[in-house]
Amino acid sequence: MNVPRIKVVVVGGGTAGWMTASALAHILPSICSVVLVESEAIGIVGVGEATLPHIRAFNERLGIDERDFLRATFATYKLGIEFVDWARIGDRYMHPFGSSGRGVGGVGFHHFWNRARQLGLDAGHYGDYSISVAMGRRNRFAPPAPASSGDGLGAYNYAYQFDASCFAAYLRRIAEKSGVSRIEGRIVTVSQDGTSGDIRAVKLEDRREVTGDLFIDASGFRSLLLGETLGEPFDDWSHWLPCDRAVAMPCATTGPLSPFTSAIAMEAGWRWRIPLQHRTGNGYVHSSAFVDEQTAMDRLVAAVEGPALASPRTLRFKAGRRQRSWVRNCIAIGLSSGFLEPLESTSIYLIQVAITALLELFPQQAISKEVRDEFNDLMGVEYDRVRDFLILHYHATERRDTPFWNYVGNMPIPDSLAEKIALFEARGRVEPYARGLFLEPSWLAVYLGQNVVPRDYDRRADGMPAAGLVAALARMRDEISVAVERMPHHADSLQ
Amino acid sequence: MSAERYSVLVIGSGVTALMAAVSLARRLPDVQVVRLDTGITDPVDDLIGACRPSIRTFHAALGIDEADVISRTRASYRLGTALSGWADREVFRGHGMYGEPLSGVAFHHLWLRAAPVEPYESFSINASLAARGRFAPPSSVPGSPMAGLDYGLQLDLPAYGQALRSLGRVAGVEEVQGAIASVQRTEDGCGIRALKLTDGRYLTADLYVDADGRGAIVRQSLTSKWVDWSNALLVDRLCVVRKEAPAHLVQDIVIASESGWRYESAAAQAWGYSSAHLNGQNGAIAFRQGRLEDPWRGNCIAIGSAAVSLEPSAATGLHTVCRHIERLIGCWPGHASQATEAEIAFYNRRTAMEADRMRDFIQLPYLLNERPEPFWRAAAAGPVSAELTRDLALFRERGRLATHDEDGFERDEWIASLIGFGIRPRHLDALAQELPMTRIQQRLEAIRL
Repeated sequence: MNVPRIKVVVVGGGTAGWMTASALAHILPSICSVVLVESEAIGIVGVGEATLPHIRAFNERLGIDERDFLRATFATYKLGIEFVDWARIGDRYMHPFGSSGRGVGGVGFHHFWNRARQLGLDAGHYGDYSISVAMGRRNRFAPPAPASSGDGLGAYNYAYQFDASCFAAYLRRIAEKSGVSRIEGRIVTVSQDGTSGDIRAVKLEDRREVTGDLFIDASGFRSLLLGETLGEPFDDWSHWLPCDRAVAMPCATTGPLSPFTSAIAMEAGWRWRIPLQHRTGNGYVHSSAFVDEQTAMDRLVAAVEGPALASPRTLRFKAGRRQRSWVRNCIAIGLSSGFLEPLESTSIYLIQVAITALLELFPQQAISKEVRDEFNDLMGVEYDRVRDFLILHYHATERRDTPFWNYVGNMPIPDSLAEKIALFEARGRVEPYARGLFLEPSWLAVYLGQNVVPRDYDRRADGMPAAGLVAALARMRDEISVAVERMPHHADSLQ
Repeated sequence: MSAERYSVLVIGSGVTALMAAVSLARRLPDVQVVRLDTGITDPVDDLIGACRPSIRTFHAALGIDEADVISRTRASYRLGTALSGWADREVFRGHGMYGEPLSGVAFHHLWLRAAPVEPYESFSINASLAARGRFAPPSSVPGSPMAGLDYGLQLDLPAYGQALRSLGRVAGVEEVQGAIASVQRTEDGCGIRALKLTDGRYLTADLYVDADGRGAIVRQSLTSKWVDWSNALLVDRLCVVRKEAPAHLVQDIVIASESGWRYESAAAQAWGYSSAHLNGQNGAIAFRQGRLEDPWRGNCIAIGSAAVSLEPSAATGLHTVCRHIERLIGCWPGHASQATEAEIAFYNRRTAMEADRMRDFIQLPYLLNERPEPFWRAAAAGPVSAELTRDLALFRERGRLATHDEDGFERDEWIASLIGFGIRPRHLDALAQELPMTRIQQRLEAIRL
């Protein structure tokens, strides 16, 4: 092609930076050239160790071999997230990557389950009808059959838990093989074009200058280009998501290797537990308004299951997002465009959707307003919908045992979420989306897992006689039990 | 009326009311359905029987056998709509697929990249069959060109209505003949208490479904605000004639004329025009395009053209009915509990989103028309919604179709409209450009028809 390639400069070499650089270089090799500027002096945050199933599509697109990837990043399989002590102390449920039960004639299973409860039948927990939950409880894992899709009882999906710094290094190898050049250095200034305001170059400590057509801000919380240089305003969501600190500390794994991430509610936030092949990641996400850092560290140290493998370190953040992610010729991807706590493992997903949108909208000539607007609209919907889903976890609680839980349980919530909850509480309806993350199965898992049970159900569920309902529920539980018993243990499936 | 069963009164004599009554009686347990046959039918609704593929979902949900419908009611297959004379070439909007994506790149990007090649329609099985006046059922073999076929039906509505009526009787729909003398509202004015008939009888129900067409006096007796689209969609007069002997047409054809269009389908013929641009014609029905702001209010819900009124050029009439019935069943208040405000708001919000998208879909060819007459210039200059303005600008720039949460049309159909009217994006898709031309050409070769 004789058209000159678009020069993309990626600022930052964390997960967001290397994911973007490798994807652009691998997928649009004749359209763009990619330079990545990073400084070894700046650590990577890498809290996004737990992912969503979408990551598999990303890996596949980059031609990554699953076995090789699992080895290189000490990855484990992930079937969902287990939530402990959220609605009430002692509660436990899982948000699996898959649905629960089998509906009939277009009526969702949860309506039949709710009817059984209202009839006083022993319907058990909603999660008892999910194969992923059963696999998680018994620490089993087997990849889903290739043909299993749709809403069958045997259909499920999976993601990974991995060492984020190994993942960044792994992608760096792919990126460099695809022609990405890496520049080591600390950026001291950013220069803009005098008339257009576009970013022209970043200047490094050693006075080198890196120019480009398109700049990807993957600088993390600092938001060097979008926030500091272009001054894009930040919408603060911390009144809804008050957690602003995390203390993180890995420990040795004791006991069987679980195929899920755990999120355990604490006095002023929650604690993650992410099992990897070589260690278990732990962290206490908390609100500095409700607990001091030292206490948070002490609580984390006391709670982890095995010997500590490092001393705790602190991360600071604020929930919210920049109003736009793409401004002028700068596209912020990852934490530089917004932050939502890792409660539902969305950090890497949000990076990935930004990359997908960028690939689909990649500008080859002047950047048009239409393209920027579309990108910003897509990302806005993603962030807003994830935000609402996260707030639900905090708000749908009966806990009032600490000032933190008292605050989140009583705080005003966004209208968009209040409408969803009111709709669900009446008769178990979940508003369908054509865009954005977290579809009906996810909302159902969290609502029902946190004891938000609709007052009524879809009356079409009355079409099944009560005796038939009892038999159908028992059959589903048996079917799951038989299927899971045949599966290998998670640890063995990684061999 | 028994205390146990939830009672619903469906008001109307036309196909909309018959479809609603039989669906509610058959698909919902413990519901007592009464239909008030007012003897008044909506002249637009009951003569134009063009259905999009949603009618087949409707039949499947009721357990109605399609072959049976076709043989008993003189129905035929319908592959799409041809717009003739709107631009310097005919534009076909087919159901079904226009070629499969390659490596995740949508087919139209491949087509645009490979240009100049055969017209876009050549890659639609529906368009190819329609051009030859033929039909064959879709294939279930993946990769077969016939796998992408999709179709609706062309119904002969008087015969179809008869069939639904018998089906309704079997399903337990009780029919009451009578004319409404007055509508009695609840004390707070937010709901219906009873309907008084001219013979002095009263009818009451837990829920009132007003399926009485554009008249809809029951729903209109409660506060209602009409969202008017007559500035955007100028056609406000229709003459409709039912064909006694159905023609062999597998598509609808909408042929542009000086101040409107002529519509031809297998079962009907119609003329639509704007009264501001053409003097009144004998027998023309006046109608206005728009929608109710909140079709569901209290215990009364308007469905079909009582809620959303659109011209028949995009076969949205019965499509709207199918979608309203499906949404109503999905939101069914049922049994003892009343619908909550949140549920009613949900129903109204989704119905409005869907209707606005239909308005945009219908307006699109008017905006892109290439005719010189005053009617057509006025139609092209009409007010455009913010969403459609943005969608058009994005497509012109990048060939990308934005996704909407509630859209009653297939993406391929939107794209067929945009490309059919000659929009060529200023920039090619980068992902399509990365694909080797030989692979694109192989893909085009494999599906060229």
